[in-house]
Amino acid sequence: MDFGLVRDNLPFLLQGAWITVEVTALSLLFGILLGTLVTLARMSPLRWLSALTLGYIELLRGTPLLVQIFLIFFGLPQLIQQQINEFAAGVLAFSINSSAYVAEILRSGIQSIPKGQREAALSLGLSPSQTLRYVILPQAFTRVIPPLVNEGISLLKNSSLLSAIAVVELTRAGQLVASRTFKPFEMYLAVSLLYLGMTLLLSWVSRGLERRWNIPH
Amino acid sequence: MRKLGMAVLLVLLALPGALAQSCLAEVKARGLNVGTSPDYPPFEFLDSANKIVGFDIDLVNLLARELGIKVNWVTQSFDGLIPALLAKKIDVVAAGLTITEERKKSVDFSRPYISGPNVIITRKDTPGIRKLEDLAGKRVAVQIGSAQEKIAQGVKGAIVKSYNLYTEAALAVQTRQADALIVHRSVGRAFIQQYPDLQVVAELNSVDTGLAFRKECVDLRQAVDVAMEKLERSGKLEELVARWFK
Repeated sequence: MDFGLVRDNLPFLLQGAWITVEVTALSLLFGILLGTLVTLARMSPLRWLSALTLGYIELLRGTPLLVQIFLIFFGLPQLIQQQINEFAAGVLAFSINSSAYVAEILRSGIQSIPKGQREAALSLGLSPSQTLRYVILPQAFTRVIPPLVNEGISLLKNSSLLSAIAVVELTRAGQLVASRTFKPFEMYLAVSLLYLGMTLLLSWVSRGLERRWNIPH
Repeated sequence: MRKLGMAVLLVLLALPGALAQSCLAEVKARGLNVGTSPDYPPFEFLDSANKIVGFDIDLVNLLARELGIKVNWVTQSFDGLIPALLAKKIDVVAAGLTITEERKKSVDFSRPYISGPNVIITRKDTPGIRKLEDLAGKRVAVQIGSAQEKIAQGVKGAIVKSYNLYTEAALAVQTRQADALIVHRSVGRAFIQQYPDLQVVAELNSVDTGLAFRKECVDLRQAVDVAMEKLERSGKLEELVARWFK
């Protein structure tokens, strides 16, 4: 065991961890924005729009994330004749993938709001879109905080897949040091602990939010 | 007297450990576990039937026949090969491995079995890359853990992109996700056959390629070296080189 090696390479690993945080935060943000649109389309009374969205969700949930990353990184530039750097390709792939999961989380959140609330809002003279904006969505969002944090945790862990397109995030940073020093055990142990630190922090934040908004389990 | 007894006991305890150092005997009994990463044509790659073929495969099979050893092929990612060797999961690395001073600190190499330069490859429509220094500010694709990765890291200002597989590094250049590829010449030729819009723009220093062994497996390495010398003298090695690297 040679943990001096971990100490020497810690700044490099932390740089990688920062990229991991950036990818996760951006993808979760875009995933929630896009996922909200997707879930509205999914619950739309227009049959064709709802069916199309269901296809979108099934496509993204039914294919491996790594394949989606390769498709966007290697395939999209040929299609649009425009380069995409690996960071942008990664965030794009994760945002799109995450939007499918977020959409389903939000849908279950919206459907968990009792029908009476919608009926009451409408009978008080709110328009359907005002009902959605001021009554349904705010309640739905607080209820879905725990599953959304779970989505954030899986995004954070899945961001290690970006090592395959040469993004130097935490996993690739550890891999680079391990392949240079031939000390995989020490490096991957350090990498695991850094991931664990980040995911524990996320769960802690989630529990804080749950307590604050008094979310039933 | 008790002290002497203790000493004798210690020697007896240490003896099996010392005897177990014979890697050759162990390998002869259970077969030779050879690690490789089949993304490096023509050294090792998958043919159209997804079978591992290539120069290293033929070479190791010939060497093993010479030594009367059975071969078990173990495929895994390139950057995990030397750690797997050190962890005794495999006995030899046969992966077109460049003999470098840095690697020699951790492993021992066989006699070099092939020499040749590394090359820089770009797309035909990428201008301005004619030598190593031109890679400053350019995205250079290599494989993680490779000797070429080290070369790229040594170029001031180069942006090194390390991929899991060499085939992915080549694909990155072909799809303009990277500007240049540094790779062994013979492998570069294979990639150019696959992607006609790539070309060799520079030849770098020549390097030697060898098989890697654990440092304590001296007897195994020596036996392989003797067999390799035999293949050299009989012209079989040359034949093999001609077949795969024409």
